[in-house]
Amino acid sequence: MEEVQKDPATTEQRAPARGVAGAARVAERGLRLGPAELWALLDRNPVAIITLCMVIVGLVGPDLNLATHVLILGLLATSLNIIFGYGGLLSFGHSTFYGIAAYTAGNVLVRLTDNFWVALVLALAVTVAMATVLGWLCLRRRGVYFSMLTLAFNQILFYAAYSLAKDWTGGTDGLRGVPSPTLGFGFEANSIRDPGTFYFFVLAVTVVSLWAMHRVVLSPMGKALQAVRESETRALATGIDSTRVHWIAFVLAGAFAGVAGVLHSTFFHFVGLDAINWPLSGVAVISVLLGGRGTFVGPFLGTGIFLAFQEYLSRITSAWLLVLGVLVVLCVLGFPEGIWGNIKGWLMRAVGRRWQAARPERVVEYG
Amino acid sequence: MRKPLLLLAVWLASLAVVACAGEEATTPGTGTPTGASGQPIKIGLVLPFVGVYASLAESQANAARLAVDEINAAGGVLGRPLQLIIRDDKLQTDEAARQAQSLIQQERVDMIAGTIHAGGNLAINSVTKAAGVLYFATSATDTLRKERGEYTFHTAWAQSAAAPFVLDWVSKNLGRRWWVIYPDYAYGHEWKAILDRTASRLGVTIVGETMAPLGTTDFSSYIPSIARANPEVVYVFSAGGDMVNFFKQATAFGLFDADTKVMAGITDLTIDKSAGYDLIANTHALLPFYWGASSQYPSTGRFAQAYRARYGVPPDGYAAIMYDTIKVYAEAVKKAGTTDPSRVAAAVPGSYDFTEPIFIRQCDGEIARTMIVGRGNTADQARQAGDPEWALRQVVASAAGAESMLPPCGQ
Amino acid sequence: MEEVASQVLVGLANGVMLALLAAGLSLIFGQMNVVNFAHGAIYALGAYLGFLMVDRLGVFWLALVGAPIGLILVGIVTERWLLRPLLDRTGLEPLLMTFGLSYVITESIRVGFGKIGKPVDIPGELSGTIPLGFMDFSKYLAVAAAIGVVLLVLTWLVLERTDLGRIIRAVAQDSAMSMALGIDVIHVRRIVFCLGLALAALAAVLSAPLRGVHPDMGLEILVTVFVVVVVGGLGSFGGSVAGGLLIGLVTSLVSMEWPQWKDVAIFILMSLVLLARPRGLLGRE
Repeated sequence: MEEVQKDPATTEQRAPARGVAGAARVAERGLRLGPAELWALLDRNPVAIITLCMVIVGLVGPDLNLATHVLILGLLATSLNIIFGYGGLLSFGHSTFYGIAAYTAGNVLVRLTDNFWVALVLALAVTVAMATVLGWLCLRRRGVYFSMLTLAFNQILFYAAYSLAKDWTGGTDGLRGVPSPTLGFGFEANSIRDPGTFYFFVLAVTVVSLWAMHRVVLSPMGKALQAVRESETRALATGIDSTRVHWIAFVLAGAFAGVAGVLHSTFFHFVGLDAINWPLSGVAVISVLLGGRGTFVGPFLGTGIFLAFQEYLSRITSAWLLVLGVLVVLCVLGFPEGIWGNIKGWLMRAVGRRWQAARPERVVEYG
Repeated sequence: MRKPLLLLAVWLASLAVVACAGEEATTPGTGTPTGASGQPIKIGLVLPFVGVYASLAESQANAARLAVDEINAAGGVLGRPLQLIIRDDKLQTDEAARQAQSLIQQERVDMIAGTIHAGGNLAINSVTKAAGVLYFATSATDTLRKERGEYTFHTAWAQSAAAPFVLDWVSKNLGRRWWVIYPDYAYGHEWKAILDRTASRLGVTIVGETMAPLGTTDFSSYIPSIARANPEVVYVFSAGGDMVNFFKQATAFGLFDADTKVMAGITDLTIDKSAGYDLIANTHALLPFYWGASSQYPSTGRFAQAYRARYGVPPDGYAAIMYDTIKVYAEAVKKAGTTDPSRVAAAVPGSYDFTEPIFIRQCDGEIARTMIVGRGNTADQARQAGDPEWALRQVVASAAGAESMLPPCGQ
Repeated sequence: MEEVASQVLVGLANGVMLALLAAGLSLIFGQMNVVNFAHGAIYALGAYLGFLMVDRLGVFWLALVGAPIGLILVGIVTERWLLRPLLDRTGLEPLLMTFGLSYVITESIRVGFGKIGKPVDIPGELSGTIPLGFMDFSKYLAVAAAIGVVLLVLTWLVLERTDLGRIIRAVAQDSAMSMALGIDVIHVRRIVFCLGLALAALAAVLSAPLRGVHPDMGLEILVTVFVVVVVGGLGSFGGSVAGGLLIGLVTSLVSMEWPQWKDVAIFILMSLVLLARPRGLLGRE
């Protein structure tokens, strides 16, 4: 969203501060960090914000293990946001892609090679293929029927993992003994013996994925996707092929969920049925809604809050799920746009108030 | 701006209320060491405090606290107190792995014990194997011994150890024409493999079988076929809530009568309690531990008394397993003179009798627990026994845990 | 042949219970456009209220009346304070709210009633079986199914033949227009919400002697109920009944030959219905 702001004090037009020219302008005028600037900062650089926060957490945070999990599930939630937040379609089967990728990567690492990149490529290939097929099937419907279709296919694949493909998935016992992968050049990502290195490796993969997803959202396709979300009829009228746009978004969302799944298998050294079953989708959906569906940072923030509360509450009391439920209920009432969405919303309103305050004699006269 | 703040305040208040309301029996957390002094020996417990096994997790946590307090009161181990760090794996296998990792990396525990679901056991084993940490699996699994780390031990009963005794008893005392119900996951498949192997040797005919998905609440669709086959014994390996549902529905359909007996593959105190006297009366079941077996095993009586004095209810089989685990670990550390995993692991195998006779063997870390066949009491019988709330079973047959029960190493 | 007949009977009887539960969910969806994720938890709550009544009062039949009343009271409070503020917002807040509620209700049950299940016995006069020649049918299941059918018929009569029913259907069809015509939409929504809960409570109490009562019973049945509602047609009462009977039948017949496929079968059915005829058997769209 381009902003051409009118300075309330003068009527000069001020282009947004970007690039060298922008830096020069800022140096000229001094750096203002009012609500408008803050909002723009938060809105334009979501990946940088997340990266910065997670780097800090990685360096000084109390629980590296939990932080790694937040990275992985945050990636999953952000990928869901592509089809859910930006696309407007609630998918309950997102854990399908996470699980398929995790099982595939796990099997590659156990049976073929312990090279991470080979596992990643093969897992993504399978996941993208699956997402293409499932997307084609599920996108024949919209709204709640779409959601139910994703749920139905998720359950069918869950049962496949449970019994049909038991030799590959281990059924209820799970796929065990996934080795720590090598990254080439003698590097190994061992979450047990070297959690610090492992964390920053996962962070790197996550940041690259987030950046890629952000580019997608900002691209023309991303805009088209949001246009379809706002009004499919109008988008169709402007020549946007809504089905294709949805399909591409679905596949991309699935692909990035797959990346998270691959990380899962290397982090836990284990892939269980919980990686594909629908409650994981539910956690992703809650994280997206809690953090803010229309925003990029929201899902990640929501994941962080949800997992952190889950972990620390469960250490205090075994009734932690009750408290978490109450938290969700209160957040829904108090933060209708999600936590991040509301933070940005408040900033926006502050901008409006500032602008109003600067024009005290705003008298509107009608002739 | 005020509404969210108000709501936040309400939520914080409810959090405080719940946290305070949780008694010792329901809160995970850290046990405070008493008695001994010095650098604590840390024991990590990973258990599912939410979900269907939550009550069993509580039993194990309670038993662990009891054992730790007893040991610390007696001076600790090598002069050091034991310290429990309890984590909730939320009944998820990957969460179990993650908690194990967290305990190893952040808390630097000397030993991990847990969990209640077989998948979780295998997940934790994956982690402890790679990290070279001692692990005691505290629930039934028959797959663990095939992929255990060298410092992994199994202190809960295993199907292949129980099978010879119980199958023989059922074939001799209840009947030889069986209809078998298996739960459709690893535990059930193991039993099926065992029965397929040994049925003919025992003179047993399996007239039919049902593979019921795990978590089946509705067995009524299976019942007509069973009734038609008219078996002498309906052998139900589905455990816990599944078993109780089957009993309810079978009773409603009149499946159990003088000609058709029912045998439960495994049961435990809390399951029997939730089933109620009317359902279990005059049925038989295999129990890996029964608190009322004090006349057969004095250690059972002592343990049951101590547990009941502290927690107000008798211990169930899972509590016995965890109590044994902590005590065995303490013994092994004392014997080895160090907490170094390889030395302790070498000191673990042997016979023990803290809650009932058990034997842990060296080649695969497997355990032979005492096995008990119990008949369900009626409410009247329980009253007569002097314990109307908890005298749910009476011991009909038992076999003390000994090395001979275990199948040959490597099988 | 006899085997099939007995499976069909059992399947239909179980299907009636499912239909009761699904009808509640469908009605709530039709009125408020909310997929009520807390429906399973509410079902569990109803079952526990039933247990409480049987435990304290000793008579099963009182629970059949008391549990729905209890749930209605819960429903009134929930609807007023937790759902109504959200219904005017665009988006999926009600969905998230029901998510949160399902956790809250389930865990409250666990905290309040303990973590293991509770026994509910078949009322003495209904124990035993009815000999049908080809099988012995559980007397209790037969009576419970019969009661279920009566309740479903009553609900159908209210919806189709009374003024209230007409108003309910009108609001479901077009709430804005109904409001313009002077109907108190908020009041109607509250009534339907409570009706849905009452049906869930009845299903819970009727099933309790056969399925038991434990904190996770809601989660276990939730996805099955979704399948029923989708197959029958979202928002359609008749659809839920047809869907419930069909799913009960399918589950029963499949478990006869291929018990491991019992659960997948209904999801395959659900996806086929959604792909071929998304409005379900009897849904309107």
